[in-house]
Amino acid sequence: MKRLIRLTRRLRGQPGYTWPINYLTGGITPPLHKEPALAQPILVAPLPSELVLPLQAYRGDDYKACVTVGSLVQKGQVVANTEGLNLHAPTSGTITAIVKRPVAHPSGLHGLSLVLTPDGLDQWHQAVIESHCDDYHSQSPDQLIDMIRRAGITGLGGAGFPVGRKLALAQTTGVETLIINAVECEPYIAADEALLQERAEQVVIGIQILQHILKPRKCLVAIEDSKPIAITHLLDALTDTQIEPVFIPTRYPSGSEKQLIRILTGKELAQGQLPAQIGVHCQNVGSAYAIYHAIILGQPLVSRISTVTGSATQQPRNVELLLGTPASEAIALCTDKPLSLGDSLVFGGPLMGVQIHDDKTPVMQTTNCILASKAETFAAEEEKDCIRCGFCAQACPAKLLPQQLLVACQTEQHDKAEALGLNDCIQCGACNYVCPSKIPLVQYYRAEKAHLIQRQKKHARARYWQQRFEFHQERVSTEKATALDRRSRALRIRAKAPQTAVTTDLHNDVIATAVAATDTPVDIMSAEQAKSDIQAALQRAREKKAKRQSLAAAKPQQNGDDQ
Amino acid sequence: MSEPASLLFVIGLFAAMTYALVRVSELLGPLRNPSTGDDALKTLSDTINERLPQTQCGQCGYAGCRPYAEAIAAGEAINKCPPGGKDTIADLAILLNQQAVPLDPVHGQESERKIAYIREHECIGCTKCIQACPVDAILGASKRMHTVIVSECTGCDLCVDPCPVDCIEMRPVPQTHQDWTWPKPGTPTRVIWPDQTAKIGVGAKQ
Repeated sequence: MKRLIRLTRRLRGQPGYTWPINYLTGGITPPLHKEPALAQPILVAPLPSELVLPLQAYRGDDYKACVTVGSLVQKGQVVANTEGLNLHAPTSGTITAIVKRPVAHPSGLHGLSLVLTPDGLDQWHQAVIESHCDDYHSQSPDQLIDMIRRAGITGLGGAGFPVGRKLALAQTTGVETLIINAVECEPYIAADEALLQERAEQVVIGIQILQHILKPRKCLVAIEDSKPIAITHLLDALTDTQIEPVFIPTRYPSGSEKQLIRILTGKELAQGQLPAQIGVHCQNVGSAYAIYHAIILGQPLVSRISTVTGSATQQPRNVELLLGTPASEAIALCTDKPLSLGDSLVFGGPLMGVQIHDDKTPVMQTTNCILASKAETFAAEEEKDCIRCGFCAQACPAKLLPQQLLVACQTEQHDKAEALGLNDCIQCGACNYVCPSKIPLVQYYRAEKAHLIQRQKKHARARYWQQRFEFHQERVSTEKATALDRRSRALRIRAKAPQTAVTTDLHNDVIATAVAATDTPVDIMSAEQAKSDIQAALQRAREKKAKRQSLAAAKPQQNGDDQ
Repeated sequence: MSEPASLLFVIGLFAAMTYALVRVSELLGPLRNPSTGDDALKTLSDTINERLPQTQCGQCGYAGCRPYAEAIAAGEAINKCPPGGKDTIADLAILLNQQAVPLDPVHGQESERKIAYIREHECIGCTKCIQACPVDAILGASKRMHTVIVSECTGCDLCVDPCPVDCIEMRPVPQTHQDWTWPKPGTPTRVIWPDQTAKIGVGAKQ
């Protein structure tokens, strides 16, 4: 029925329906819970008491701090960088510490972070004020990419890939279709929707800058058909532009890059293939908005819109937060009561989010939602046996066989899991959602994926060590050979010195003895000497140890006496 | 038909065919195993060697990983490698079509990855550990302090014994965000599977 309605709208040429789409295979339609957060306008958060900027960049590259403890920084000043990607101070203030703090990572391990105490002035850095560019048409694409890179923009959708790097890559391969992703299909998250409701014009300018850089044949903005207000604002902003809106059916996980590309273009990415290789380039609307800020206003990425929601908040809403704001302070804007022990805190949505272990964890570029739930909301249900109903296979958007994968993961058949396409799993959690036995399938998959990655690393390490070992063996043997050569040559010279009348026979004899000499220990005395040396050293070490132990034993006694 | 002419013809034909074969084999490149893409001329011991952890620790009783790989190819047990542990045994079991067996405790226990650490103020600069290191991971000179290059150390333990002043210790590698792996969900689910016995178990035939 829905498809029929779509078809009639398409035939009538209604905007948003003219582009032919492919329907998502699998997927789920969970309750969305987005209305509460959208009931109020975006709140620009007040300055928090401190900001924490983790020095972890995309996939293990670490930022290198270019400030020290005590440095005074201004808003937008570069505080750390890596390979041309900058991290900026979100407000003006003092760097009070560079320490390990909780970061948004499922392990709960702490990471090195800059701690910035705001001075309350929120003063922009001079370089930012001077660097705005009113007419981006006059700039070359390379200049614009460089500006984006320097503004420290990373993808605001989910993976956090540096936008500058992505654009530079796309520029070399050429882009046929530019896709702007406004499909926010996960429940609770409404940050992009709120952005389009209030700031669609800026987003569209950002998209036009992207068009100017990449010169795609076609530019599409994909948004779900269940967001009427955002759609109205988007359509208003899109008039007289070369950008085509596409309204797609509301179904999770349509917003995943791979899935969205298939919906809009019908092209499927092979395993390990990048969208750039098939002439497609995806950017999030949030990233387009950040690009507008970076180019037109010259402002680097220092804040993002995040949905603060969940059953532990009284008034869920969308908040524009400075990067580095501790989650607890963001939650405090939406509720009077702080989180209590046992409540769950997730960065991202309920299906793909990252469980956070500490409510002081700072907001990052990729934190599109802060989901604080009361303990009872997501009560863990007991995992039961698989009844082979096959619902998971129907729900899987990557067309995998979740049951088979589960068995392979449980029985640690790593090669089989890989052969079944584990690496194509986008960990969307649709299989978990439909499973009547409450099996945490995705948890098994990601544990297995992590294992495969570690296994690969282990193999790489083993190959390297093998190389090193072979090099070591070669080195030792050549060293032996050169020592032998040197000895025989030295003896030859010595034999020649008194000579003149030395016969060739004698000469050969000398060489023979020299060669024979190298087979026996060079100096028998020295070996014994070494042995006695070792003995002496050992003796010394033993004495030292005994002394240390007796000292250590004596100390607590003394302390005891004092008391 | 004259005899020399036919003889020449046959020889010529052979020469031409040999030449053609050589050219064709050059064009096709080295022989490849169609399933793995490996060099088909690679021996079994090479393949086994690739699956060993290459720590060169000698805990298996052989002087390094390659000798052990050669021994396995000749029929030695696959459960003598503590650094590789369960995963390596499972890998080898699949490769050699054997049953995966638990690690032989005679050769040591599987433990977390460790690397050597030299307590530098105690080092006397005897170079004995440098000579013992199979991968040249220790830096130093005679009568000068030595230190371990962390990125190169395999954690083989071979430098600990030769040290006359016992200043080398094995320290566990600290966990980082990159090394961290997702834990498996709590209790394993029993799968209702018609032929359960045939399917479950590490290294079972697929």
